[in-house]
Amino acid sequence: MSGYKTIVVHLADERRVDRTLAVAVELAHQQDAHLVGLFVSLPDLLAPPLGVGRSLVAAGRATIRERAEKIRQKFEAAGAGLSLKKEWRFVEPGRAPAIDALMIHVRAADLIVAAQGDLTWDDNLLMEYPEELLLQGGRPILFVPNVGELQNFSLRPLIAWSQRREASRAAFDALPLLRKAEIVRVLWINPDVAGKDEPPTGDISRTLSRHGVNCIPATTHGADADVGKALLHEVKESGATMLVMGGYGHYRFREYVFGGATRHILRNMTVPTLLSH
Amino acid sequence: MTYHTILVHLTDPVRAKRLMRVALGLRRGAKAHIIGLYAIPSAFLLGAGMPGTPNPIVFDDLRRQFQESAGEIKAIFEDACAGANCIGEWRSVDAAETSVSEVVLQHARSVDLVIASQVDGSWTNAEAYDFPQVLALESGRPVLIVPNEGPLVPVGRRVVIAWNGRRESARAAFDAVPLLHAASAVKVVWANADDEPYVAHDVPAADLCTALARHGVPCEATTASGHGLSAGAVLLREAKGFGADMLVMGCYGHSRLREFIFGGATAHVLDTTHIPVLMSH
Repeated sequence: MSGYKTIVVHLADERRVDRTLAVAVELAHQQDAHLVGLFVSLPDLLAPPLGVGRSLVAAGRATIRERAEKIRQKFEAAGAGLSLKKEWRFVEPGRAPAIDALMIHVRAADLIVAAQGDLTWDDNLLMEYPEELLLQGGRPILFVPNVGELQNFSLRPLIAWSQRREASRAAFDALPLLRKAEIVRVLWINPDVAGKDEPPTGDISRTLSRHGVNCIPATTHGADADVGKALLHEVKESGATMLVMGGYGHYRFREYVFGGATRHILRNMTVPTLLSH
Repeated sequence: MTYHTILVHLTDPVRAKRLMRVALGLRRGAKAHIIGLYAIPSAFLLGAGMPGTPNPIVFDDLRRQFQESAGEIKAIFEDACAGANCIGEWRSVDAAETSVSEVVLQHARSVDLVIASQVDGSWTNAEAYDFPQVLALESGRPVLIVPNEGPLVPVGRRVVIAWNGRRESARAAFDAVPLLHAASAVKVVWANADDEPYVAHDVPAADLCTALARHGVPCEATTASGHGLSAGAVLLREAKGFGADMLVMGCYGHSRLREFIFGGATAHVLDTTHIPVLMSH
């Protein structure tokens, strides 16, 4: 891949749009990518046949359009002076599920950028879809944390390597970013605290090096149940500016559920985190 | 960007030559690192550890066959690499305590691209040693599956991409970008779009074409349908009509209790293709 050429940034919460846009704009500029700003409205679930409740539906729609318009203005203003190629997409899914509309747009992109998700936001459940984006998008996704430093986030990535399918996906999907980084740490968390096993980071480090990535293998210890904590600790200790890791999860009881470490990171992250499933 | 590290899973001398020809044909000027992986199965013990059994019965015919062929396949690999501008790395691995597929998967997860043979249905041991679809499903890497028959022309000049707006097809299309750079013509096909629960636009594959065009890939978007034909059959027909030398498609399936179940189009294409297929999950 010749870098990320199409980046879709999913925008929903007016309060956090600035942070999400800061990351998306920095990346689009670095990669010389086409940046799509995507706002997906809610489906008209309330609209019964025969037009009953039409005024309520119209009021709801107007509120959301107003919010989208404010976000659009921020999107248009972001990265002024950088001569970015930007495209605003406002989608009203009608009666189809919002997620279907969202998927159509993100699956034709090299990378998705989205906010971390904020459980304290009133509209969190209706307008943020981190599980679906990660597990069903089929594209890598860069989550922007709600707190923490964002400047120069791509300088020192940390890759969580585990020799599983998802970790492999994430490492290779992050290549365009990794190639621009100063230094990349490839971390293996050995679940066996006393273990002296050969770390499995050699092969992947050599493969990434052939792409021109400057990487160093590293090992730490941590039980499987504490992988999320161990990772956040390593990020802090090593001064990593972003994290790259496999996103784990599955479909259960009609909804997508994250795996333990993935959920822990997505709740407690302080650096931008690229995940792939 | 290109594929710099390519892993070729070798099983027998005849197909090893075909795989190496495809692998070497993928080099795009840059010096590629090609790993030849040869996995030797463990012996199968019957009755080991059971109370009351005398000595376990050891079935190691296959293991010995693999061990005996190792030299010949290594020579094929090294000859192929010597004649080309590439770095060859031979890996002969003993699947001592695990299955061959598990060993290949471990090695596959650290490379840019995996190349493997189509399942040879006439081989009694195909189930245990031919598993390109499992690699596509579980490795997290794109897998280029080389048919056992058919002429081998350089891969990736004329390419058909199967697109249906789903996760797996998105994976495959973007994983193929390093190959698509060198293509002279690429066609994105939505097969049997009428059967899909939702259709994005008038030309559903247009968004993907735009994204690929930003990578410098020359492509056109179409839909194709065949009355009474499965999506897999329509795709192969389209590939033939286009004169394609490669098909790119998502690998649909899942594993349940160590059994793998594959989607209809995936299985059909894997069984009957005469051109290499790049699959991703």
